[in-house]
Amino acid sequence: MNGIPSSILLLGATSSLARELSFRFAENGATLHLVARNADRLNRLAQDISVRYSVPVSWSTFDAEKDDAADVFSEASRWLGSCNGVVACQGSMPEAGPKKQENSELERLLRVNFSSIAIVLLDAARAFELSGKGFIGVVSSVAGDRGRRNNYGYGSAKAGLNAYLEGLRSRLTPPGIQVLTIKAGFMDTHMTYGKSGIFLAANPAAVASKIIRAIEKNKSVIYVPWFWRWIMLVIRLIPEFVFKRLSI
Amino acid sequence: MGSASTLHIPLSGWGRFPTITARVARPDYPDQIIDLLKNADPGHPILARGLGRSYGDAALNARGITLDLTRMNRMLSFDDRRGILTCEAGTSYEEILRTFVPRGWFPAVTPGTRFVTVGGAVAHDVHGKNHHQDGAFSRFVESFRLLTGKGEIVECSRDQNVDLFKATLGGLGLTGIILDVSFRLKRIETAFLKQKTVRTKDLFHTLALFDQLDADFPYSVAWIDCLARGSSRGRGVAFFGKHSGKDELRDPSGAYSLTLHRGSRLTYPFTTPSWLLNRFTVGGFNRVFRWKHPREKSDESVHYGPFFYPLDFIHNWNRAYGKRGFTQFQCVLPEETGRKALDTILTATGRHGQASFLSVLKKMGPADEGFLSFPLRGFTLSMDFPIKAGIAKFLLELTKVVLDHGGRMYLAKDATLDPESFRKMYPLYDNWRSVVATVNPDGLIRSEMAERLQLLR
Repeated sequence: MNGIPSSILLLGATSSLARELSFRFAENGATLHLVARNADRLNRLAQDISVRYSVPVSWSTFDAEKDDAADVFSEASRWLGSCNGVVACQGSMPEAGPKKQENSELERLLRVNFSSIAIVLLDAARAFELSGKGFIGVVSSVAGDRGRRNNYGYGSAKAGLNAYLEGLRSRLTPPGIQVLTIKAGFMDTHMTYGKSGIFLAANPAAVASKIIRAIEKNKSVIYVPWFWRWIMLVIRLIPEFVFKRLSI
Repeated sequence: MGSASTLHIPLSGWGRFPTITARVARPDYPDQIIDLLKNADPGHPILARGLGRSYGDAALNARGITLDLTRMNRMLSFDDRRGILTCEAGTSYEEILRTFVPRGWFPAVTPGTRFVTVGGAVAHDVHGKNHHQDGAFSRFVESFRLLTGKGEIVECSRDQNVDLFKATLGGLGLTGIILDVSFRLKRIETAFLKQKTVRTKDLFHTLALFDQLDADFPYSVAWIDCLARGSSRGRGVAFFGKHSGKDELRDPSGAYSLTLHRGSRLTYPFTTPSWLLNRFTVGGFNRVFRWKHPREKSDESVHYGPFFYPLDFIHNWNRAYGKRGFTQFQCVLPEETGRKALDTILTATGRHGQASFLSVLKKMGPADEGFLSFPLRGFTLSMDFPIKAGIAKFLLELTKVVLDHGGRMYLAKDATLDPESFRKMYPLYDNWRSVVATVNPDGLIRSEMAERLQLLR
């Protein structure tokens, strides 16, 4: 059984899932550094965690669209003393369908959902290799398993992220560092509330519990909820000459 | 932020009567609530809603947007010297118990279910089994921050914006959206209580016990069989409790002294037809319940879970009342006229056979600070009635008894009261109304209850 890391950097900390995860981590006595865009929300979250669990919580702001991702890990390490876990919950869904997207929106999606995270993880990987221990967990999406007409901006960013994590996992397996890809389906959060086409949205607290178990069991890739593994398997098996005609 | 995403869903109170279709938004942060208020107008008002445990239409808004605030549940600070917790209004008693019981703190006033939010506790100024000694929840509220109907965020306490403070306590959420609340918890040494139970033979026996034991026990309640007739009316079982000290527990190491309640997986699986609850089945149940308790038993050690929250053990127990739902009748009767009024009411319920499981009788202390707070020094009686033919007329009859004896109805349970009776029951309504006129002048915050009782005219 793997242990939960004791000094964790959380990207996209103000999301519902990140909050539930930070509760589970804090329950295990971890020290946390929270990173997100909004200072007020970070402050509230930090207070919430420290009142409930009496653990040290620090935070700093980072806007993935504008700020330099290369600074994030080093700043977090300064706050934490030494960081031995990075969990990325950062993500942003597109404002409108791909056809209506401006180039800048596409660039934003790629940066927020893929490249900025990848840069932070590169810094983390180097540090963990040196110290010989660490954990990397990234909340990705089932949307990355195949590009679809309705969602390929976001989907391609997640696809890129998933492949990046596969490579990182391979690099970090010799030193024994776990890299966990969490492929989440719909979750019951502000992002999905009231939107049409959402089904079987999972409760963030339940998803967080699943992630903790996956960390303890040293898993590489999990689908949450479980049935998405089979849905995406079917989706992936559909031949391209058929799939390109589907309007999903 | 743009226009909020909303769901169109059927909503009701705990009694599942009435039911409306509501447009619900679920903000995570105060700035999102401010946006929702900005987009409101008199034709599209908003209303805050917590866990929906009020029984009637207090948390229903059919016209504009209902704000589900259950995700606004962050704890912001805790002063562990004075036991003052500050948390967002959507925080539930359930979470507070899980966080603070292990640290030796407990809510000073708790209602009969732990699935209520702190905002809801303020809006109804909830009470528990200890009102005769400790008063209602408002007694322990230090301050709160309110987003008024005019869009201002105001801090209210006994030193600041005092009238608004008193108008919001028990104010049904109509003065504004409560954002966060600071309130005192009380210290406990263990998670257990010392309980005394006495089987009572009639109403007067029950009332005599309250007189005798209320000074010694902070918590007291009597479950009574409202179907019992004749000289047995008002018979039941009385429970008295006080928090146990560490030295009073059998386990000398104290290792389990602050254990949490167990969550329950039991749920009433589906709505059963309401004819299942009738004079015979309910009467039978009441008799068995009473019979199973010994004539008298003292010094029993009970965990706070079953003592304070027996009904939480079965999730969705309200489904037992059928598709048409039920209404809870809860009144308070002043001490002077109380005995006679209770007797009249219990005679009526015995005669009509309107079935209520285990009605609840409690003694109450002096009235609380909120202009519309429910308690009065006297007795409060709660009964559940399934919605059936004849119930409306019967409720009118009972309400008249309450009015005639100077009592009043609890709005957290009410679904049927009329505006005239309401005004007579709540003499401080005009004080409340003039505060609301200044903070919610355009009725941007409104509920079905406000409409029914003409609260915002």
